[in-house]
Amino acid sequence: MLSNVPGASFGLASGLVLLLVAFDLRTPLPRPQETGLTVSRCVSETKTLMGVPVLIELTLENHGCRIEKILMHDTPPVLATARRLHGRPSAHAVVTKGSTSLLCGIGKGGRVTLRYEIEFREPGEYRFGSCSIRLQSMFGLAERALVLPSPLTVRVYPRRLAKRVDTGPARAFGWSGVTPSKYSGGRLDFVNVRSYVSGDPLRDVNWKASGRLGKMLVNEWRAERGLDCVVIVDLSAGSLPNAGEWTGRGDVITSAYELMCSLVGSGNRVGLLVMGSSLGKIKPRLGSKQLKAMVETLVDSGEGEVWSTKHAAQFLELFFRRQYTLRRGTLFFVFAWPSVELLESVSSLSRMGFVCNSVIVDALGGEGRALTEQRILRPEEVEFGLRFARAELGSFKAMLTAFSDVYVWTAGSGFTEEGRKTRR
Amino acid sequence: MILLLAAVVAAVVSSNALATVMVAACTASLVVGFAWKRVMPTLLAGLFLYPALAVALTTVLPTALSYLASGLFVIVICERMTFEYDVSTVLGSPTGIDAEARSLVSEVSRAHTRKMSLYVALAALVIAGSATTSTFTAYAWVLVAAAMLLVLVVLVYATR
Repeated sequence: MLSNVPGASFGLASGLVLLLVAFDLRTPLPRPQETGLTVSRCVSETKTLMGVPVLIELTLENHGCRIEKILMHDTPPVLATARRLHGRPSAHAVVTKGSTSLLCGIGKGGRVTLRYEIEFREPGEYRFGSCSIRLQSMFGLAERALVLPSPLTVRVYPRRLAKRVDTGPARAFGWSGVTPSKYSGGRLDFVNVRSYVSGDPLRDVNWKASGRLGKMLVNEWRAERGLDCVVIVDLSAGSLPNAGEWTGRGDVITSAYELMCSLVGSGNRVGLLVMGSSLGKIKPRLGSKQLKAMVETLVDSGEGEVWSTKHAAQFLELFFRRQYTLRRGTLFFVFAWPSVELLESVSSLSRMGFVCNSVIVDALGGEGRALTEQRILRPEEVEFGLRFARAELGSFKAMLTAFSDVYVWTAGSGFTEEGRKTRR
Repeated sequence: MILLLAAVVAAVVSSNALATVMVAACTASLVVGFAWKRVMPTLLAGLFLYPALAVALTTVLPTALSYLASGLFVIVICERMTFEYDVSTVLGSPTGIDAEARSLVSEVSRAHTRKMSLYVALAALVIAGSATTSTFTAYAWVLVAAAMLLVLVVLVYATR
């Protein structure tokens, strides 16, 4: 307008700008405490499996005056046990469908819903935080930012692969133990055929043999024996491979879960010891409830530096006294990378008389992919590194076979036997 | 695209070294704003284009009218562009967007267009008023246009 004084036309645009401002600020934005906006969140599943899409719905309701333009943004949940890398989207929870942002106008009493699907890539507890909301005038000249809390927790469990370990009745990898299996009937070993004695159940009658020989014969069974075992899961920082936000935790948990499923499913008594950010311990018991408790412990466990397999023998003595004193327990060490501490632990426990088994989780492929995807290394460098890592792993395997049977777990193909303990 | 085209036309028509530099600055700023979806570089591009376009328009329109027309053009295009940045952050999701969210976005877009049309109509009223005044007096129409705009500003703001 000042340019009108010397008679120039240059300043006329300022009048147009002022008109735009007046136009936009006609409708004032409500103050944060007066907005009357509420947010509620719901998910299709609060307990889900890895890789299963979960639908998230975030509903925004307006109990105040009309707001012309709202930009709502929701942040995908974070894994409670994950390391925080600021400025990077979480690699554990990935949006697979829909958008986490919404642009809308909302009248009094109106309601809008932001909808998207998430896939979880690692087991654990995921926590949703708050959603950020930007109230804007239509031309964006006025803006207020709000953060509305909408907490929710989703627990993600490891997924059992289609090709799982089929251990057969009361056997895991061909071992049988000394604890009687809890299963009766079908879970028995066939021993012999003998003459019928009064009181024998009819279902045990061998009708074919009876017909052939002309006298009543029954099948004789012997109750199967299960293992009394402890699965020791190593989640210590030194033995978990990591690349950026990716760690081998998911693979280790999945393999431990598969192993426990097989052992429990075959009627064995299974216990758990998790070495990570916290010390998880569950005494050996039978049944699916026991499996559930162990899975919950695994889901809550995180990578840590405090607890390591170095003190496995002490923990066994402290928490699993019966197994420890009788030396009955069969131990399964599940780990992604064999450390010297683990090697020492396996050797000492083996010398004490425990039957030791090492399950190496092959996380090298996942680590290589993560290194390439996050552009930490070039593909040829990754390939070169993997060759060294495989060679090193091979030598560790050879050392482990002196004290334990060695198995390798690979995602998608399960367990393969890599070496039997050298018996002297 | 429209803004870039207008910038090129303005540079060619005005055939002025300073205008060419301003148009180049406008183009650079526009590209930066568009690439990073930033409001400030886009507004800066509009600011660079305004005088150059106005000078170019003086070849077909009276001076005051060309400044008003140039200002209106730049404001409308820049405002729509910055609005589209917000829309594109929502619609440009690599994992898609559901139909309900899409309809909500298009509702906001329609509301924005309505409001912008009203603004353009009011500004056009001012331009028409100042053009009419210019037929009666050769000197006062800049003042008349400015006064009309001020009155409109007060009126619009007073109706809140």
